[in-house]
Amino acid sequence: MPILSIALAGMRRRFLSTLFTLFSTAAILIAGTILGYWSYWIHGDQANLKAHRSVAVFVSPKHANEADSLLPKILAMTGVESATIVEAEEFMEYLGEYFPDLQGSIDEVGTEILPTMIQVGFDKSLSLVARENTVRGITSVKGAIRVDDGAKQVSGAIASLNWLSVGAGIMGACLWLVLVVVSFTHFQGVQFKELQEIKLLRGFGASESWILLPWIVEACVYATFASMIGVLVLWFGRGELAVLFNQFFETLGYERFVINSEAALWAGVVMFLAGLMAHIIGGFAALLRGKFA
Amino acid sequence: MITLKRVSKFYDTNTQVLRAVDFSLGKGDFFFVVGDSGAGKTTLLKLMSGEEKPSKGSVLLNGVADVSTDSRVIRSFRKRTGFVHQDFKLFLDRTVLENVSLPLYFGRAGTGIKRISLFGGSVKKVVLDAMKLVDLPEKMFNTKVGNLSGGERQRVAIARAIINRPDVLIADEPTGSLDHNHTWAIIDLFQKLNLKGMAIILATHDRDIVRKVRKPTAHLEKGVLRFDTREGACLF
Repeated sequence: MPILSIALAGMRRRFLSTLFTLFSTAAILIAGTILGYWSYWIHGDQANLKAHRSVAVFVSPKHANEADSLLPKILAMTGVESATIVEAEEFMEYLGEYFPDLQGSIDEVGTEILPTMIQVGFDKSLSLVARENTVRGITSVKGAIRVDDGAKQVSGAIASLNWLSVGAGIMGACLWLVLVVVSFTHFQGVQFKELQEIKLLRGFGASESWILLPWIVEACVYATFASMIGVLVLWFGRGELAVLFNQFFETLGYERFVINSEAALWAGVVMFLAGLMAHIIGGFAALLRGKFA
Repeated sequence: MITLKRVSKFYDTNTQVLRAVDFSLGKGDFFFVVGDSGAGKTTLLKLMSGEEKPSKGSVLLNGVADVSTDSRVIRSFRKRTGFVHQDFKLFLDRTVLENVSLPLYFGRAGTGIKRISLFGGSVKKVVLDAMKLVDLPEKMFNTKVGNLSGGERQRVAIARAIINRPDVLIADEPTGSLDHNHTWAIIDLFQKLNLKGMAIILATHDRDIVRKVRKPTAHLEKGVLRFDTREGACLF
């Protein structure tokens, strides 16, 4: 395909500039994608927040023996996926892991003092409004003396995290703008270097689109290879990225951050499109500024 | 075909290269343009090809379209024009094939030469035919132009200019780097092409060529064009 070979020949001639543009595109896309994905994990997909997906229901001591009968009533409510009685041993295990001193104190007085507790899990797709209605419904079930809603307790922290998520999103977008500037500078350099060639091609009757087409192919090549590099880096660095994220957010009640094959594929598609758009916009801006378009 | 009406060209306020030049090149014409170095020969040719725009006056194609204003007309005209540059304007890092075949991407109607698609197509035969016309051996087909001698490069430039069978050939010192034999082989080729109807305008320093070929000559001196239609008239 001559158009591809023309584009590749141009890139070969400007080898150093091509390498710089390719790797800076990849680096910016990777950084932008990581920020964007984190932003989505924190805020975009609320299902990742465990506190949003469950509540603890405490049964009154009077009805402790009838706890089993409460389960069907709770399960019948909108968006409730699961309702299970938390056994005393299970609860003590939890305390042992996170609050060992408290576990020791309870051990001394006996587990009889622990109230009967039902762990209720919500469907991931349950909206916040519907969730609130369901929680209200659970509160009114006879025998349930208290509903411990983790989401409410951490709502202040979640609101702050949402701002963090917005900030990360903005930083991702700014990085994309940096990529547009990198591309603009690159294509300005290309114009300067290939001015004679452009003039000669015009001398043969080349149209504007003919002169632009190899550069658009070049933009496609950058976007393709940079997103491939990006996917590889994300895939091989997914363990380190998850640790970095989870050491903070998992302790706040978020699901474990993971980059699976589906996420990597989506990241690749997003990086390709973001890279392509940045190079096309940067290229056209350079052409307009250089008055060759 | 190409008409220059009272064309002047300034590069800055103190440098006037051409002064109110009137000139007309019709179908099948053959003109020499002679003059000292810096007389404005190259500028005149560039104005005729639309590569330069006049500071004053107008360059008309077929008596109507103004080169300076109508980009679509000039693009179509350029597809029907071959230009041999004084400095060849070849891509040294590319092969003879890649250089000679360049105009084929833009094509032109009525020549029977198929335009190369940007997405594929073979051009080998057409390029080899053009190479044969300028006496470039077939084995040079894939040679990088940077590895060729000055004379060979000049012949590559000429092959590129004629590959599309243009209606007009504008040649700026096309034999400047050629030895005696190749010079005359190229001049013979130009004459044959001219007999087939190709209009040719050729800028040269070579008095011998002008005297022996006996074609009308335009003489440029300090930007003023003097004209002698007596064939073989050499004013310098």
